[in-house]
Amino acid sequence: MTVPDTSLASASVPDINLAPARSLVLWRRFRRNRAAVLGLVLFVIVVLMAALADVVTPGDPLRNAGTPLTAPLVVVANPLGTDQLGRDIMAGIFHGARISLIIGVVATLISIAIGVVIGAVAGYFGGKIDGALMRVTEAFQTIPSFILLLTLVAIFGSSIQNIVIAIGIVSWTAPARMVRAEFMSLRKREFVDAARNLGVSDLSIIFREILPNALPPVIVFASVVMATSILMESALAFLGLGDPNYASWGNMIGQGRSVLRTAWFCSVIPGLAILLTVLSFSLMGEGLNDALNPRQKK
Amino acid sequence: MSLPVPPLLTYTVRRVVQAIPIIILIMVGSFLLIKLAPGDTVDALVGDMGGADPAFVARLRAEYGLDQSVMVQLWRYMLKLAQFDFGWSYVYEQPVITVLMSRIGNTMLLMVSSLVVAFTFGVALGAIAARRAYSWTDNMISTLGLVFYAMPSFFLSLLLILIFSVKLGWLPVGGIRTIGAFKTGWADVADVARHLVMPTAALSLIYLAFYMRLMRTSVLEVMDLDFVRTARAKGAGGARLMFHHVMRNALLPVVTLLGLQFSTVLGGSVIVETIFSLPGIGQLAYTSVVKRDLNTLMGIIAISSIIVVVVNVVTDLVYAWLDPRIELK
Repeated sequence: MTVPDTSLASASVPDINLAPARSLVLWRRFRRNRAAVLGLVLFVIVVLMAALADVVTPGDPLRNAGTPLTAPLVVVANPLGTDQLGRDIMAGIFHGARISLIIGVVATLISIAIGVVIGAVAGYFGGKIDGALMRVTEAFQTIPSFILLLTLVAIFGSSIQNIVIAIGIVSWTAPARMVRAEFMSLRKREFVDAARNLGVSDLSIIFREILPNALPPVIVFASVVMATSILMESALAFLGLGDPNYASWGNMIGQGRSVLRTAWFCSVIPGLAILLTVLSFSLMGEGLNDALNPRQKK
Repeated sequence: MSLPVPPLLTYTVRRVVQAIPIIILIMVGSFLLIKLAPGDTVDALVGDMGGADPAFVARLRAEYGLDQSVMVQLWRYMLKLAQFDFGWSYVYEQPVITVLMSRIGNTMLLMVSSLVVAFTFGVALGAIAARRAYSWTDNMISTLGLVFYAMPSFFLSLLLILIFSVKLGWLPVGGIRTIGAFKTGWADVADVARHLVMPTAALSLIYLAFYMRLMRTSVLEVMDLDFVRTARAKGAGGARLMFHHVMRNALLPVVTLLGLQFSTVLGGSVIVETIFSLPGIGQLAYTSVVKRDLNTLMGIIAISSIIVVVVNVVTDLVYAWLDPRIELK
């Protein structure tokens, strides 16, 4: 399928792995979905907040920066107010965006990596290997993931690295099942037979031949994993089990809980930040899904 | 010809047998986790006593079987678990199983009420949205669903407390019963129900959004199928078409999701129970983490895995009942 090239659209599309024509088509389809564009805008805002945290609100976000419990829009220095320890809420929101995004991205990469390896091996080889790996997957799915997360954090400690790894460990099962299903349908295709007849090794077939074809649905699903990772981290921080050395939205809400009666803004502002961030991932994921499967009308 | 064993029974037995290796895997995994944790029971005990001489520590280790090899310890652990002996909780000064049993009822109550609310409202709203697809009502419901889906349960809980307890004073902030009221009979039931309103709402909303979206897609798909056109041609319309022909078929994927998500809902109860101080398994998980009560934590993992497995088997049976095309073999 050839696409008439217009200089305006091609300039706005970054040329990554996909051929430019294909990404152009995808971008056009994505752009038509207003909700998806709103999601993209929200996401860009969060990324900007994370990137500019040190410029807009320099210094340690956990330091005392004003009179405790200042309401929003009263003092110029603390536009979103301060909490009960006099910490600036805007600084917390900006620096918290950084933590949320880092945790979201890294935990998602870890879970997708584990999921791809396990799903690919199970789906490609089938038989006993598949049976054994699927039992392990089911075991992980049976334990409530948040309880497993709490256990891992309780045993290995709640430094930010451990939290990221633990979130990755509890959320790889869905991507693994997805990759396995793709592999099971793809491994019988002619191009795989052709590669095998040419003497290409199993490892090469898995990662070079089949995986690129199996990835698109996993990439869309990554937006869901990212959203749940951010929610899990904020829930941990809300319970006071996060890393105390970093500003985190969940922790801000948890701290704000004790002053909920008098200073609702301490927990409502970071709550809205989480809500909008997660919303942006859902909207983008849906837009991406529609763009990749245009015939699947919902 | 073989003996006429009811297919439902053989199916149930087969599903339970299939679940056994998974439960065993989970038990072995949790044993390894305890072994990986720094320090053992004796370290904790001796730490509590403020130190002891090495001979005494060695005797304690032998008494708890901690001087044996890892495989022997694993075997003993599994034997104990098979008898529902999860060890001793040093925080509650009771056997773990006693602590679990005293709390499991509250958690189950919260689970059932949340899932019933999420399922009923999710299915109803999803069906309405699909009936009026692409209308103003549909857009309204779908947008609301997206917001519910993105709302963290702990934030929603705080908003509910702020509105209904702090500002309006309609509902109690937490607990399962009014302390010191000692109500009986229906007054007690009403009291518990009042305490469960906000936790149920906080836990169910995100799943309500899930079921609603799935139901909408599913109803739209089913409405395009041939048998619906046939039913319509034969004169079935309106409510009969919707309830008798469409809904029953459209429910299938929702039931599957309900089973798959049960373990996530159980995990979500940790946050909701902690916020509303409901004395259930979830709140117990939180306090066990804070107080480093690993025995109790492992007991919680074991008991919740068993519950999840049972729920999954039940879901499969419901599915087979809803869809006669599935053969129970």
